[in-house]
Amino acid sequence: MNTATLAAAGVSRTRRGAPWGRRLLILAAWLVFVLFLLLPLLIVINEALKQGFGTFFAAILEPDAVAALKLTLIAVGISVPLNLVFGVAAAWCVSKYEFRGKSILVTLIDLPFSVSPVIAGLIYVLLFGAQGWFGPWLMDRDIQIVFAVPGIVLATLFVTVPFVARELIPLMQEQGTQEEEAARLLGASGWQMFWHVTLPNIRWGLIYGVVLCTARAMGEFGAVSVVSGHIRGLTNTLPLHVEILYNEYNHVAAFSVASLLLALALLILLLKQWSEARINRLKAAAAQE
Amino acid sequence: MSIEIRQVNKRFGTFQALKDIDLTIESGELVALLGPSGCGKTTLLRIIAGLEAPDTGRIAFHGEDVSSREVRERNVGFVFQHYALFRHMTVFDNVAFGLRMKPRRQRPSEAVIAEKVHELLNLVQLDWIADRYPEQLSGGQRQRIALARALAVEPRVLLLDEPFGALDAKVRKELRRWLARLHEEVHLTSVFVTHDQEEAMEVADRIVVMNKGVIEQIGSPGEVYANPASDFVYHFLGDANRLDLAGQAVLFRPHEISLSRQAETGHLPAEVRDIRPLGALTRVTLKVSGQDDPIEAEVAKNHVTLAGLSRGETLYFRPNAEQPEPWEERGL
Repeated sequence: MNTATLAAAGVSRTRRGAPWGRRLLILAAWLVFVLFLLLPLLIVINEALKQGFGTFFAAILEPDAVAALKLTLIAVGISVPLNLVFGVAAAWCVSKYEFRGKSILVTLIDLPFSVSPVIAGLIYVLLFGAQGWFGPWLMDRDIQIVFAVPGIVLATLFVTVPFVARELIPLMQEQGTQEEEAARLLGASGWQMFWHVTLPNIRWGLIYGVVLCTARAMGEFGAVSVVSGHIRGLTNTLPLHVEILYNEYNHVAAFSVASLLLALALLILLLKQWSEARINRLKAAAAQE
Repeated sequence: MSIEIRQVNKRFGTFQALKDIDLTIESGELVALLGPSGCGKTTLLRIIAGLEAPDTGRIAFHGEDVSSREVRERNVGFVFQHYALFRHMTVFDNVAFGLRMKPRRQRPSEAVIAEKVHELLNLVQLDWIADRYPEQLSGGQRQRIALARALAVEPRVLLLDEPFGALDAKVRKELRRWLARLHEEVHLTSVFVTHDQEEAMEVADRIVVMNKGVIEQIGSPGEVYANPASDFVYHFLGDANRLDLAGQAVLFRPHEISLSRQAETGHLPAEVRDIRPLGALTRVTLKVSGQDDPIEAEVAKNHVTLAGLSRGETLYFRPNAEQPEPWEERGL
């Protein structure tokens, strides 16, 4: 009662006392949003449709663009499931066990966030390239990693490692181990415990992590660019294909493919929004306890 | 099902959590592990359950060594302090969990499971909330659901970790009486951990008093209270007064005192500092010259010395520790 009155008084005072400051800040936020986020998006779509839907679809359905889309989906399709498994395993060990070197492992999980993607790409060239450490050995066995699909998958994998684990570690730490212990005491096997207790508890956080991971895997440019070799129709992902088209002054095609990427990103964003709302609802329910 | 604990030791790093623990819990007994926080009582309970492995020593259920058995093979019911109900499952699914996790050949049909779950929910008097989720329940309800869940797999022993610790005083009192009654009914060998001596006294058949990783004393509530084996047990089981008499300390409980308005032989004078009615008893705080610690006396509220007594007056008192305890009089 008392606090409610105080809070109400506080609100009305800010409304009467400093309306301009607040309006100015909100206006500034909107300005930044429109200028730097919304406008570029509209321009992308506008440029893409400049010469009508015919050219737009032609650019998207052109074989090299389709190959780029396929490669992007392959890279996402391999790196996201691997990171899902790795992320859950890493989050599990870090949050449920105590062991030596735990803090080092946690720091290492974050490494891809702090290392520039270009350097990540270079690492793979230095390791697996023709002049790299494993280059001659791989060459003898006729295995191509750099400038081929495996290199692109590896680079994508590297930059997306932290997403799932980072999302799950705080969640699992907060939940503790008691429900798992209870499941064991009730006779559940390790797999039953994971499937019936742990996984349902981390479900929404996991979806959120996977969505972020997917978005990043689709959009990754720097690391992939270094290991790709830019072979059209073979080692170009969507972002690389956009760059090539743009550099060839083929603006309409570049923006058409870019808007395809944009559509995928928006889809992912919607998924993220949905899972985030779910998580917040669960947290609110937990906070009520 | 009896539980035998032999020579159990447990260290966490440099901290000796348990030292040479030897304890036998008889079949059908309700035993309290009582001690201050950090005394090792919860660690001992977790070792019995198999959630923690002892460094040395062994645990046997009914003579059969279970030390090397995994948690899920020990068939113990365990109730956690904070219940650890599965938050994404309804009350019904929580209670049914243990039955559904059984290997396919031993698993009862869903109809049998439903029957069993409702039977247990009736036992804990919560059949009407079967469809709710744990977050919609009060603390006392969660506690009873946790108990029903533990009982569903027909455990050989029941272990409870501070079962009433997270509840408010009134619910706690109701629940512990209810637990004592339930134990009468199902007669399952049960061990519960508590730091509350009143709770141990009220519920347990026997009390194991622990301190700093060792067992200080094992005995019935009456025994440990009347014949404490150490100063620690004496102080832990109730309030104590300390009176310095010519360099010798006399320990006595607040009710072990005789009070008088007039000077009598063997009685010491003291100044009345405070008078607190506590219901059936009244507590009088006395200041004795020559010692800092006050003496607390608890006497019946209609005691003759209390009539018209006010602060600052002088009372005469004598420690009365030899007075027989009520249960000895009644021959218990």
